[in-house]
Amino acid sequence: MKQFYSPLFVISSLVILSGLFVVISNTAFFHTTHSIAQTSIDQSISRAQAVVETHPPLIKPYIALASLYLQKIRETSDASYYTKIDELMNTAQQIDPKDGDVLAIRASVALGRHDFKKGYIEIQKALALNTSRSAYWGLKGDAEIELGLYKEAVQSFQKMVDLRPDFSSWSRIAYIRELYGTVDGAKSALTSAISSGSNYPENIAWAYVEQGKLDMRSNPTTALADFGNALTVLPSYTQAMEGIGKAEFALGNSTEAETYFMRAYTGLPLAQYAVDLADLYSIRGDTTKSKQHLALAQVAYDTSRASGVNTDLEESLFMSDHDIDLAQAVEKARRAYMERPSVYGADYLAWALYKNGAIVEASQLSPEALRLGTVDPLILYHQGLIARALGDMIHAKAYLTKSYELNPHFSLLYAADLKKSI
Amino acid sequence: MNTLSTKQTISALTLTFAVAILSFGMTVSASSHREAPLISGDPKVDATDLYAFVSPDNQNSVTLIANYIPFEEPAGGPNFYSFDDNALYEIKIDNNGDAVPDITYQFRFKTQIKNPKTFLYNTGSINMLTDSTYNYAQTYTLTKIENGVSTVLGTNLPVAPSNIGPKSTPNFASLQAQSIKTVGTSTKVFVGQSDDPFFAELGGLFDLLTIRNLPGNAGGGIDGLKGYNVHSLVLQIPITELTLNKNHPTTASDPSAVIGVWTTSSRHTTSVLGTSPSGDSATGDWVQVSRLGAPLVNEVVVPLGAKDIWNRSYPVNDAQFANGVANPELGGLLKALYNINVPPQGDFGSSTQRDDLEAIFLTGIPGLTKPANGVPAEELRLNVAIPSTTTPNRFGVLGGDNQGYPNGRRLGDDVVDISLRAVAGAAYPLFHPGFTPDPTGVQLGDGVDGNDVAFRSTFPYLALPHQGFTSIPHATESSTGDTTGTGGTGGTSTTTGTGSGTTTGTSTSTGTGTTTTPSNTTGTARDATVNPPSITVRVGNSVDFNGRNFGHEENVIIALNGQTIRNAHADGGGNFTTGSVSVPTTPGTYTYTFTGQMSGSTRSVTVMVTQ
Repeated sequence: MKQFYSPLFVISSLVILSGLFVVISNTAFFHTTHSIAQTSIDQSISRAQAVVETHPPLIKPYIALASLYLQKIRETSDASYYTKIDELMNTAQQIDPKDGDVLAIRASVALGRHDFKKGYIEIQKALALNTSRSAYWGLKGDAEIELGLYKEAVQSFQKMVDLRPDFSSWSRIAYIRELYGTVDGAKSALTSAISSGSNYPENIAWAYVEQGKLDMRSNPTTALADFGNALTVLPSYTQAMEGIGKAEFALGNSTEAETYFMRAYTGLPLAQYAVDLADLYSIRGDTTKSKQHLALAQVAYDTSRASGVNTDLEESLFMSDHDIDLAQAVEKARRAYMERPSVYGADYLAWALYKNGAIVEASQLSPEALRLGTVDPLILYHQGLIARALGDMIHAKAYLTKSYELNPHFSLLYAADLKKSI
Repeated sequence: MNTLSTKQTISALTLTFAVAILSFGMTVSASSHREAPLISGDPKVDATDLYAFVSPDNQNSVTLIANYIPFEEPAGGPNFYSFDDNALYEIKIDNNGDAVPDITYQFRFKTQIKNPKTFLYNTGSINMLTDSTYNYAQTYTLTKIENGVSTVLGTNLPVAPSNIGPKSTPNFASLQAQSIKTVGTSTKVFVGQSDDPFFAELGGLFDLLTIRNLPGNAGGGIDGLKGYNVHSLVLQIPITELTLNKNHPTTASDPSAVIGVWTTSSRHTTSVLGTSPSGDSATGDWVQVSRLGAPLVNEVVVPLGAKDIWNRSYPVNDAQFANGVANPELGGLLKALYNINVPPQGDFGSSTQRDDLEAIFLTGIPGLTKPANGVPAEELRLNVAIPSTTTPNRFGVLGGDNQGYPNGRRLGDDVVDISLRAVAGAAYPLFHPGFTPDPTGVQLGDGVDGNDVAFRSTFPYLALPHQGFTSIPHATESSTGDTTGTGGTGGTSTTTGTGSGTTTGTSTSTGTGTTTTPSNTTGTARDATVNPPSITVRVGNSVDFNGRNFGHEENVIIALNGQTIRNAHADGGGNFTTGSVSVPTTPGTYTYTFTGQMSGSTRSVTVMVTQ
């Protein structure tokens, strides 16, 4: 150890070390004085990288850099950073095997890769070391939601907000309220999140987009304003562009919708944006372009999978929705359901089964998909169609009517069918 | 019109792009589960520094300054910076040493957006605090609590706006002066943006301890806070309102002479599933989310894993952190890194505990800042009997100047150098006369000896905030030479018009091109333009406007016949595209005005709407 700290070494690394403090305090894991605000993430990353390279015996730089990579992933969706974080944490864990932040970062990475069981295990290890960190409880709740452990998730988030009411806790409360069907409560929590603020404009833009998605249910014009706010905060935010596209489509402006979907996709080639365009072209009857964009979506899923992200659930929905290899859609949905028995895991498997004609088996999953009273029009639409196919017209009508009341514009692909159905 | 070909081009582009991703190995993750941010930081309740000093120009009063929101970029639009309406900000005073607040000043904020159609910070020049153009105006209520009695000292007090630029805030000093108020009998208060008075080599702060030119007493450091702003809560309170016996003590040994000060911020928690009609911001218990007393305590005293506990904790329970003071990690680092002969150190209560540091950080210095019957607690302690000096020494008490840190803290006190030297043992001989401090140790410093801008001699003493328009964003310093926008392509917009109505994919044009009348052009070095400069479109269509050479990263307010309708955000090159702007449904001639919030550049476009 001592040779690292020879005076020569120290002097040679002085300049590079400069600025590390800024980087280090720039995480929710540490609330210290003088944390950074608006310095660009890339600048912070390059500083932190330099420190990690020149100062191997200290653990804090590894955690700081990994936390910055996690934010970088939010901003770019570039999953290759997960591998970099793995390497950093392997080294950090050798420095201190009992560091809770290392375990929490490992949990974040596992959740990002959709390995929710692993994430759940890692964050419980972190909590065994330190229960005072609000962020750890947030990660626990995130994992529990995906594993279908909703009551436990409520408790975790309660613990989190009681420890620290801030942007991170409000944004999680918003989601679980939405899952439990309390849309107004979800909006209220998002308002508190935005008021709390964040070091990263991307976080604020994200919250505006979530508001927009909730407002889409009742009022696409209000949603348009929410998405516009997100773009004002972060002009390059593709999720806001997608939102504007969906709101414009709901308002009958197909050309505007296309423009914004394209902006989103050219900004960041996510599968969901390619699907938006594919669905739009399909509605217009332009099957050639629709197919082109479905192919692009498949490319995006393939690259995600290749980078270690489990996309079974997303792909199963994509394939069911677009009648692509329906047998495989069921297979993927079954695998996904084993990994994440959430209401969405149950619903997407039911939907894949329905598309394959396995109506009875699909209907057996309905109670599970509806168990939270989640007011998600997509789930209600799926379950409505399954009930109808089963001959259960009473439930079919109830679900489909409710779905329409919630959000007549819930889906590019199915909005017209829903309207017809009721 | 070439709408179709444009779209085809884009389709081809997207395909190319997808292939590019594969070939370059970039891996894009499509995430479906709701990934709420976790690493958001919490700048609005992040206290940066606390100051307490006898007012140099009003020796019968004490000035308290609590700064929040670190690293504000002056050009920090579009919303600039504000306090959190849902948070409770407090400055607390312990005047009997029991580590419990005896007097508390509470600040609660309220944002009043004057034009609900936009959330822009301002919609034009702000000359008076009451101007309707001060769109995102915050006001606050100031309450004093003493002996369990709450007294509202003022409501609807104005927060001074951020210093945006010559167009938006043309006479900023006047605006700030308007926001200074007197409340109660004679308490002065100022709340708003100011220059961050803290100065430090950030890389050199304690936990990583970097000193560029050992021992660090010859300058040469880089002030990591230079050019940044903060939000300040400033109070100037008569000494007779603060002390235990409500007198103005004149001798340092007067038992009423020492007060302890700290600042906290809190938010309400909420019930995760139980929502109340009044919303989350008004329910649940208060949870303290930050606290700050003496400078650098977070770095010196509090172990990393305990930061959250620290922020929630109260001074009365500070014994739990005493080992960090008595046996500081930094002492070991100074020895390991620089071979400084630091005093022996051991856990709290042991024979080798650092009683010198315990005095500075926890109990007060005997004869100066130690209360008569005090309990160990982390507070910024000030002996109010010691008058202000006209010849301050930046090393404060270590420099023989008892008016400065760690007796309170003045704006110019070099707390980084003082703290480094103190940990190295500079004050140790006061408690252990046989000890000779290490000669290098007593010269340690970060090479940054003063603030980047001068403080003022009168309330609120802090320098005016750095102005957005003239500032160079810190994050993009490497590219500041490039201020001439080169006319980027701007998404899918294809506007190219330079004189006549060229239109975008969404509008149909008859291309008559009325003449352009740029109005109110204010003096900026760059020649801002908006295209098309004029256009004729049919009812029901829309226009894409492209701006060039506006201020970088600034907001551009778009007004239709003088009425603000929306805004655009100019990028780093000063360019913006509006996307489709729907034209009015009534035929006629309309003027769209584009005003850069920071640059003040104004350009007008005439739009003729025909049937």
